[in-house]
Amino acid sequence: MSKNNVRHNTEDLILEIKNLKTHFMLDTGTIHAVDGVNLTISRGKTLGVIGESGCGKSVTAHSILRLIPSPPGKIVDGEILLHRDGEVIDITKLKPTEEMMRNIRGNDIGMIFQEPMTSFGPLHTIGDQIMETILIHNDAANKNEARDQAIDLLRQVGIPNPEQRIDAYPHEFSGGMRQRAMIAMALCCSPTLLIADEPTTSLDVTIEAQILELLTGLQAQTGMAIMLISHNLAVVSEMADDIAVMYLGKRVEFGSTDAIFDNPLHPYTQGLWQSIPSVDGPLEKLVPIPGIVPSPRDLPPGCVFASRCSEFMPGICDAPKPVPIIEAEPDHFVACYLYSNG
Amino acid sequence: MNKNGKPIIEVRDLRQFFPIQEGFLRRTIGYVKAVNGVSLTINEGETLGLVGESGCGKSTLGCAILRLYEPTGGEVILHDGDEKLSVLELSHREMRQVRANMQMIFQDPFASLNERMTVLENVIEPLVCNNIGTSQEREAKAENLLMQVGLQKEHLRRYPHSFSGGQRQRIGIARALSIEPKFVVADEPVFALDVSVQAQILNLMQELQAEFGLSYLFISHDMAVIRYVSDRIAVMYVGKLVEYAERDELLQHPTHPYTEALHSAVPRLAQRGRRDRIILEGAPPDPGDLPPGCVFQTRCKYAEAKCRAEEPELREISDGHFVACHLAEDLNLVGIQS
Ligand SMILES: Nc1ncnc2c1ncn2[C@@H]1O[C@H](COP(=O)(O)OP(=O)(O)OP(=O)(O)O)[C@@H](O)[C@H]1O
Ligand SMILES: Nc1ncnc2c1ncn2[C@@H]1O[C@H](COP(=O)(O)OP(=O)(O)OP(=O)(O)O)[C@@H](O)[C@H]1O
Ligand code: SF4
Ligand code: SF4
Ligand SMILES: [Mg+2]
Ligand SMILES: [Mg+2]
Repeated sequence: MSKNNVRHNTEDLILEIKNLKTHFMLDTGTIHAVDGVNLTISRGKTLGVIGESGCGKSVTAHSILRLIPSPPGKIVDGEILLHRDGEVIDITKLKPTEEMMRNIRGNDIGMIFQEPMTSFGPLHTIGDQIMETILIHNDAANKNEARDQAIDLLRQVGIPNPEQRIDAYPHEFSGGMRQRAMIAMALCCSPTLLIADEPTTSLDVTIEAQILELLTGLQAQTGMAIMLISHNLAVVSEMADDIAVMYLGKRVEFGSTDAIFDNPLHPYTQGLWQSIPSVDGPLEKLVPIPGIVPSPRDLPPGCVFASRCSEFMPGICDAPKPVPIIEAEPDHFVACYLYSNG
Repeated sequence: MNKNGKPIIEVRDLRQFFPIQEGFLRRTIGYVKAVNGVSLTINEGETLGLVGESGCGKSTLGCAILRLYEPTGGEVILHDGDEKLSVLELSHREMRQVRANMQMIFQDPFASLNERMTVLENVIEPLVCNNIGTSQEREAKAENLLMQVGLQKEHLRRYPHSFSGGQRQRIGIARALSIEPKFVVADEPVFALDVSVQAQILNLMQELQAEFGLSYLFISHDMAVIRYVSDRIAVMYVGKLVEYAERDELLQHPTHPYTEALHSAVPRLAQRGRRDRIILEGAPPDPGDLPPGCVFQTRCKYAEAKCRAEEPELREISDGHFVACHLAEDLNLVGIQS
C-alpha cells in the first residue's frame, strides 16, 4: 500500500515550523533541545516524528503549544505559523497566557501528552474534566449533552462500561485507561491538528490497534491533521504520510513515508532501520548504531551525528558551520554532506 | 548453541492466587487467579518468549517460577546436571543456593535496584549473597559486565538515582548475569529503551546465551522483539497459556483466536500503510471472578455454546504445537506472513 507523495499545497497547510530553536538556559550551560527544526503539516495528513530519546520531539510539540517552562526554556529563533481561516498566525509571537493562545490550544490544536498524569487534575472525576472541556468549547451544549458526548468519547477510546467509569477519579484508572481518557479529552474539541506524543506507548497492542483505528477514522471524517511522535517505527510506518527524523535537536531527514523507509538517506536513519527487529521482515541480526548520543550541552561543531557516523569525512563533516539541507530527490530532504555535490 | 532439547526448567500446573480482601477485618472474599494452572518446559540454551496483554499474569508467572512468591500450587523442577530439584519444596537455605542458577531481570528498572547501594554493590550482591569470589574478583567481574552492557567503569561508584531508565535496565541485567545463572526470567528487559540501545541489549543477551548456554523466559509485549529472540513462543491470556509452539509456526499458523487477534493488532514495518485489523471488542474477564468455560469467550468472535460450558484443555494438535481451544482444528486463522 503506497502513499502518494504530493507536494504540499499551500491551501492545505495547517502548520509550518521554520528554523525553530528552543533552548534551556541552565546554570551549567545551554541545552540546545531544538536547534533549527523545519516541519510542515497539512490538512488530513499525518506527520510522523521519530528519533532517539532526548532528541527534542516533545520540546518541539510543547513549543507549538507554548507550554515550554520559562525560565529556563525559551524559543530563541524561528517561526511557528498556524494557518486558519485564511489568516496566518505566528505562534512564537504570542504570549503563552494570552486569550488567542488559549483559544488555539482549545480549538485548533489538541494534544495527547507523553505523561498521562499531567493532563488530569487529581481532585475531579475524569467525566467532570472532560465535560468541562466540552462545555468551554461548545457554548451550545448543555450539561446532559456534554455528559453523553463524554461517555461516547470514552467508549470510542475503549474504556469498558463508560456510563459508570465516567464518574471515576484519575487515580482509579490504570495507566492505560488514563492514557485513553486523555485521548478522549484531546479529541473532544475536534481539533484541526492533533499532536500525539507517544499516544500508545503504554498500551497493549490490541488497545493500540483500537486507538490507531479511532484516530484514522476521525481523520477520514474530519480532515484532522496529526503530528504523531513515536519511537515505534512500525506504528509510524502504518500511520504517517510524511516522516521527520530528528537527531540531537535537528531535523536530519524529511520525506514521504515510502521514501524514508525504502530509500533512507541519512546515515542515522539507515542505522535506525538496521537496529530494529520486525515482525514480518527478514530475520537478520540487528546492528546497533555504535556510540552514544552526545550531550545536548556541548554540541559538536558541524554535523551532530559525526561522532557515530561510519561515513564521517574529516574536515568536511566537522567544519564549524551548519550542515546544508539538500533536496536529494523531489520532496525528500536530508542534512548530510554525502549528498552535496560541491 | 546448545539446544539439545534437554529441559532446564519444567513447570507443572503452577498456580499463583492473590487473596482479595475486604473491609475492616481484611476478610478474604475471593482470589485473583493471576496464574491459573500453567505447565511449560524450557530447554537448555533455549529462549521461550512469553506474550500476552497487560495484567494477564506474565510477571507473576516469572516470579512464581523463581519462587519470589510462594505459589499456591503446582510444581517447578530445576534440572541441575542429572539432579532434579523440586524448587517449591526446598528449604530457604537450599533455595539460596538454587537462586544462583535462576535470576530475574525485573520489569521496573526503578524498583529493582537498591537505591542505598552503589552500582557496584548492586551488581555484585548476588555474588556476595552466595559467597562467590574475593572482593577483587567480584569488582573485576562487575567492571567487565558493565562494559558488556555498554556502561563505564566510572559508573560503578555512583548511586542508581543518577541513571536514566535505560541505564538502570542495563545495571539490572549486569546484576542478574553476575552470578552466571543457568536460567533467567527477563521481564520486559528492553521496554522503554531507545532502539539502538535495545538492539545492543538484545544482541548482548544472545551472545551471553551462546557463551554460557543460558536459558531465558523472555517476557515482552513487543512481538517483533519476541520474534527476534525466541525459539518458541507462548501466549498467555488471563492466567492461562492458550497457545504455544515453535516461533515461526506460532507466528504463521496461529490456532487460537486470541493469538490471531494479537497478530492482527501488531503494527508491521514491511507491510506499510493501514490495514484491516481484528479489533477485540469487550474486556477480558476479571481474574478474581472467572466465568465457567473458555477464558477468551467474552471476546472471541468464534465462540459457541460449548465454549461457555466447558473449559478447553491445552492439548497438542501437531508436533510441539499446543493450544487450548475447542475449535482449533476447524478454524482457519490468519497469521503473520513475512
Ligand atoms: N524543562 C527542561 N529543562 C531543561 N532541559 C529540558 C527540559 N525539558 C527538556 N529538556 C531537555 O531537552 C532535550 C529534548 O527533550 P525532549 O523531551 O524533547 O526529548 P524527546 O525527543 O521527547 O525524548 P523522549 O523520546 O525520551 O520523550 C533533552 O536533552 C531534555 O533533557
Ligand atoms: N501482589 C499482588 N497482589 C494482588 N494482585 C496482584 C499482585 N501482583 C499481581 N496481581 C494481579 O495479578 C494479575 C497479573 O499481574 P501481572 O503483573 O503478572 O501481569 P503482567 O502480565 O505482567 O502485566 P504487564 O504486562 O502490565 O506487566 C493482575 O490482575 C494483577 O492486578
Ligand atoms: S554529514 Fe558527515 S558525519 Fe554527518 S551524517 Fe553525513 S556523512 Fe555522517
Ligand atoms: S474455545 Fe471457544 S471461546 Fe475459547 S477461543 Fe476457542 S472458539 Fe473461542
Ligand atoms: Mg518526549
Ligand atoms: Mg508484568
